[in-house]
Amino acid sequence: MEKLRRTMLYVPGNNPAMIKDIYIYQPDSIMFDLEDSISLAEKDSARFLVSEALTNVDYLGIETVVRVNGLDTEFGLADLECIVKAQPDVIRLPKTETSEDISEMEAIIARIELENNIPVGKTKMFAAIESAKGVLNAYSIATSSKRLVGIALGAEDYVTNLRTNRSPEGIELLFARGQILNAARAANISAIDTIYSDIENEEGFRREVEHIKQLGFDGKSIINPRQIDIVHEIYAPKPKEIEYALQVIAAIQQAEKENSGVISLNGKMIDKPIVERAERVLQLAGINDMEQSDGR
Amino acid sequence: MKLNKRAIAGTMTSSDVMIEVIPWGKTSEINIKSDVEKQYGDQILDLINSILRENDVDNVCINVVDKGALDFTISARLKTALFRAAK
Amino acid sequence: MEDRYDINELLKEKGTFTGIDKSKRKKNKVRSLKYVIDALDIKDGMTISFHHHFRNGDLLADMVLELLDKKGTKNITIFPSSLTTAHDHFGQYIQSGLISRICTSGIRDRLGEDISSGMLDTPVIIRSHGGRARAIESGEEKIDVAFIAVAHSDVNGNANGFEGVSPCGSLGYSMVDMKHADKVVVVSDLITEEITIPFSVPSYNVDYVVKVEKIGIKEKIMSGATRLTTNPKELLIAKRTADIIEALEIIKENFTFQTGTGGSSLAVTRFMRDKMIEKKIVADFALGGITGHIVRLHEEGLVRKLLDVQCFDLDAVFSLKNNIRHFEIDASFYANPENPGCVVNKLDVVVLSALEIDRNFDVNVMTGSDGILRGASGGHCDTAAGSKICIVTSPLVRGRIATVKDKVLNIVTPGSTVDILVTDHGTAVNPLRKDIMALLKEKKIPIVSIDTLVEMAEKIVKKPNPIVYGDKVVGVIEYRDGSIIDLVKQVI
Repeated sequence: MEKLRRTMLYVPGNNPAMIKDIYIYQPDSIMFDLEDSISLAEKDSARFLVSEALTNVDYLGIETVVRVNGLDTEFGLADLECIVKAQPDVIRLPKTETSEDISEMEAIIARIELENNIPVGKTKMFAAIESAKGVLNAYSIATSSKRLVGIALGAEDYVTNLRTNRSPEGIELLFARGQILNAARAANISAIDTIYSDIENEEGFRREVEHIKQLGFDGKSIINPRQIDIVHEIYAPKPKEIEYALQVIAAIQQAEKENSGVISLNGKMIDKPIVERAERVLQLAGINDMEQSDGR
Repeated sequence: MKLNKRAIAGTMTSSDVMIEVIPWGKTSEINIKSDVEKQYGDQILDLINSILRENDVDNVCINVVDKGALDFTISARLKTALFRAAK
Repeated sequence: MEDRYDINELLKEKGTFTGIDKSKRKKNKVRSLKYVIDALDIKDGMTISFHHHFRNGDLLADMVLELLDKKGTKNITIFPSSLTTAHDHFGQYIQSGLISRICTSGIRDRLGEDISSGMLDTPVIIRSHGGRARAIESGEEKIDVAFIAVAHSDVNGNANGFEGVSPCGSLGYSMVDMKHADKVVVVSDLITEEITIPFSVPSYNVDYVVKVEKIGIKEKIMSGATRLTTNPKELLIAKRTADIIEALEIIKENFTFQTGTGGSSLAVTRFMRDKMIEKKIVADFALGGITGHIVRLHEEGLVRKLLDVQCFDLDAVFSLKNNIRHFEIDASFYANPENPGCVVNKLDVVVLSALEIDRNFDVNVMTGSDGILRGASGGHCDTAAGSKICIVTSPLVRGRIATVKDKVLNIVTPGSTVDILVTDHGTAVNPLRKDIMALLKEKKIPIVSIDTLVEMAEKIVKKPNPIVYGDKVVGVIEYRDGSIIDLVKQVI
């Protein structure tokens, strides 16, 4: 089953106090940032710090993502040379505009994997789309590489590019969100929404999360651990949905046992979309991994 | 690794460490000031020495001001300082 | 055979009334500090007491000791309810020979380092707030002179802590001393001819009243964070704690609690408030050091009574003055273990912090990871022992220092009285509390073993070098019943 990515938590790559135990907040993914949150003078130290953290800190199986600088900057290549060796789960490319951006970076990652005895293809990729051009190329980006596990909207740069700004209702993002979401779904990868930067506005954040969940997004990039619980709460299925999902799964198992081709529940036929939805509900409810949950 | 100039990395905020690397023409010297010197001073020294050995660095003065950094941070800051000094 | 009552003997003994001259009546008890100190003839072997209601803003202890030192007094015992950074320089009075013995709850910063290095020949006696009250009431410790800093006194010593220019709030700790000390001196910067009403110190307990220019710095009574934290780690711990309190079904009509200060504790109170409103529950009382956040709950009608042994901020001081059910209590009523009605025994839940906690759930709030005195026993072991459920909250690691470890350097609160440990890396339940363990499991609250937490912490910080101790004992930690629970060794 596809990995849950309800929350991708940013952590500035040069902050040891945050990096050392960011896992305690239990986001679905941790994203170490080497890009916008790091000043030009500290690019090197953030790179070394994230690399050492990935090698030495136990992130308890939480997906580790590193946002590197673009290859069009003087830092991008050095970031990859240092970080790929440290084996994060995912490299996130910022400001992706074309599928060539992905293939260019993929070639370098493959070369570094080869040089360091890392199975080629082990390092996954994630692309952030932050411009009108990127949004229009969303599908070709989404299908550009087998390594690509998801695409994300970066709205701050995007709205500037559109010559507008962000509104509480997010009407200016409707097209980009729809485009990115559809591209991701067509490519069968994750779709992650942009950040919400006003930490103190819990109500506004809630509204936006409900909005993007309804659109179909898998989750959101977040900038403060305080936002995690809210997202997970909104994404949590209702007890009724869980109950129904369990019934669906039970019906399938029963049908398999009886070698019956037609599966029905309460007189209604169960088809593939219903099963998929049920599986997703149970995944969001954490039913599958309940046993192994150790509460950290 | 050949060091060309003095360099600093890290900060003096909690859980961080500031490390200064000064190439000089005599035997290496490591000075450590740490919030947890009693408990971890020896281990910090060992860690620094091992990184210097790994990178073939000699004849250097290292000044460390530690604010309770974990090993991975000390290691990263020292490597950054060496990287900068070698530029 | 009894003698017959001899009325003449009685007349001779008692004297007969000869008239009265109203003008010759003793005017009042106001004297200068110097006069009082001379008149009381404080000398070798005597014990004088102080109180920490002004916390870091205390000025009185130093005023008194400075005068005694100038007089050349030697070998006295100081018996403050606690010592704060305001007393950082008291090493100089040890070196001059003025102080030869200290009994306190807290000792920290420079004075803590001085004591830990072995500056004082006699070990410091460390008592909890309840233990101190017990020691005084039982006569184990005799106080020759109690100096009580108050915010407002009249000329005869009726006094309170919440009026005037330098208010500090509750005088809870001194209320025990004033009943049992040989002599009681009330000191203030506001002394009026008019009677102080209401008073917490009645004049019949007072021998002298002293006016000084400034009795304390009210802004410095604040203890720890008073603003609600935005620190995500503190919020995480607080939320987990509040969830556990809810899961244990503690939040019921008329429940009682103490949450203390510090970032996490204040946030626990805030999360509990949400749950109380949601469930339409009103608590009977909140106990302890009172903060503005607790006051707000009281004023919102969510907590009926505040029982206040000391105020932690000026909002609490203001409330003590104005809210009739914000009630000043003394340390004996608060926590004296020999008093079966002591109010800690009525606590449903207490949330405490820790410098260190170990596999046995033993807690250290007295010495740092370097073995040096830098904390206070306070009401920690009293509330842990008295409450139905005692929750300790702490980050697993502070900087590079493990909070959860194999063995604490010093025990203040025995693990048998600690039920739950909530950390940012997980929650552990004392195996002695199978009932709690079962209930939390039923409510699907994730639990790990304390051993797991110890191992996680050690994996993060690595094993530290052992502390190098000297032979000298510099501190004796008393449990609240007066037995000795641990010794603090000199640190080299």
